Amino acid sequence: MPAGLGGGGKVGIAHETVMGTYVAPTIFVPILSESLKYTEEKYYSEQIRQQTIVSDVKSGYYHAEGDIKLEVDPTNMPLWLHASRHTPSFAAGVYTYVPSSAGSASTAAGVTSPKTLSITVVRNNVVFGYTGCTVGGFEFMIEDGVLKCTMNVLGIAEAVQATPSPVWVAADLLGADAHRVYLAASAAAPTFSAVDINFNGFTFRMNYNAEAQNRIHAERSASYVSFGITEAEVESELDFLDRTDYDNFVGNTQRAIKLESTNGGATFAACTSGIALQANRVSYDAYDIGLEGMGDLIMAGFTGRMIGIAAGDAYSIKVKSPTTIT
Amino acid sequence: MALKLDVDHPNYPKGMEFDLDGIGAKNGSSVEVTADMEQAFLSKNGKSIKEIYGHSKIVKVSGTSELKEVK
Repeated sequence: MPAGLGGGGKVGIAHETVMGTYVAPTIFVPILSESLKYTEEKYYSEQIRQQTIVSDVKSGYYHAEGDIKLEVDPTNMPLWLHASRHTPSFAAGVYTYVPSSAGSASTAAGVTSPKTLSITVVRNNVVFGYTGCTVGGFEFMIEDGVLKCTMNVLGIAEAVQATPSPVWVAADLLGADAHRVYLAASAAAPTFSAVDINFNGFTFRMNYNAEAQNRIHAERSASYVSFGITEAEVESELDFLDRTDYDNFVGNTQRAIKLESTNGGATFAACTSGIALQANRVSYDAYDIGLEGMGDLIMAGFTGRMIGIAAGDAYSIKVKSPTTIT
Repeated sequence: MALKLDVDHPNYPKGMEFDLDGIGAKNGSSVEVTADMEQAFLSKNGKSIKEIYGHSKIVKVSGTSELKEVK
């Protein structure tokens, strides 16, 4: 087979019925890059037998792990969010994901919450089927005006599979005219009013500290993926105009922040497809302002950590999507 | 009878447009594949429509190929 280009590759996904049992893909997801890989710790024998080089090797436990970066598309985003540490709900055409902080210690519990994914990657016409996959972390960011997402994916096993039958849908990307950022006082249901027009970049990230867990079961693949502490942050930079949010940082006054990205730039309530990333209680971890140089704009850079809130959720992700998840 | 593709994707709304590796189709409907379309598909994918979609849960292939075998 001749050498292949990345552009000829494809990624397909399917929710699993039984965690770790491969399901051929029915949803095909355009991506920007992926680095899923077989990850193994081999055992090298250090027997002392009159030599100073290891004398044998045994295959060790393995799992699959890597990043998938894509342009956020409301058509397929709910499938990924369903396969992560969230409690999903669906009403009036909107998928809502809130952190399932009370449960979901792992993917071992089953396939309803969270679901697990079979991810099929075709590289130069060679098929890799990753099973028992979950998204262990999301990083949404606006890059070149487009909302993108990098997902850290962990799976329990990999095996060759049949060549998938791709069904592609038209892209529904969220570009420079799609985004609005809102700031408000922290609350379980914050009251966002005017759009804040001073933001230069927006990053919304969650890390569930997921780890593949290998147990003794006469196989080398992982048994499940566990979750640790949920660490969620918002990071951005904005024009520095007054001391208000600097004083909020110093005084530990929590804020609420929301990014709405919608097809055509309508409000989320009015849009036909889009996503809303909302942090209800954010404590500024850092709020840096400096005179960087004679010709540089004076900007404020901040990182805010999301924290739990009474009678509410630390954050929510809402998606209006044409896709039905069964 | 030429090849026919019937598309039924449970996750997407009826009427949504799909690209089946170069062949346009709408969800919930069917598309007749001409010999030219088959040839273009084969050139692009290196495999026939039946090879790619013969085992698909979403796309049902019926009819017979209109491509003439070159010997």
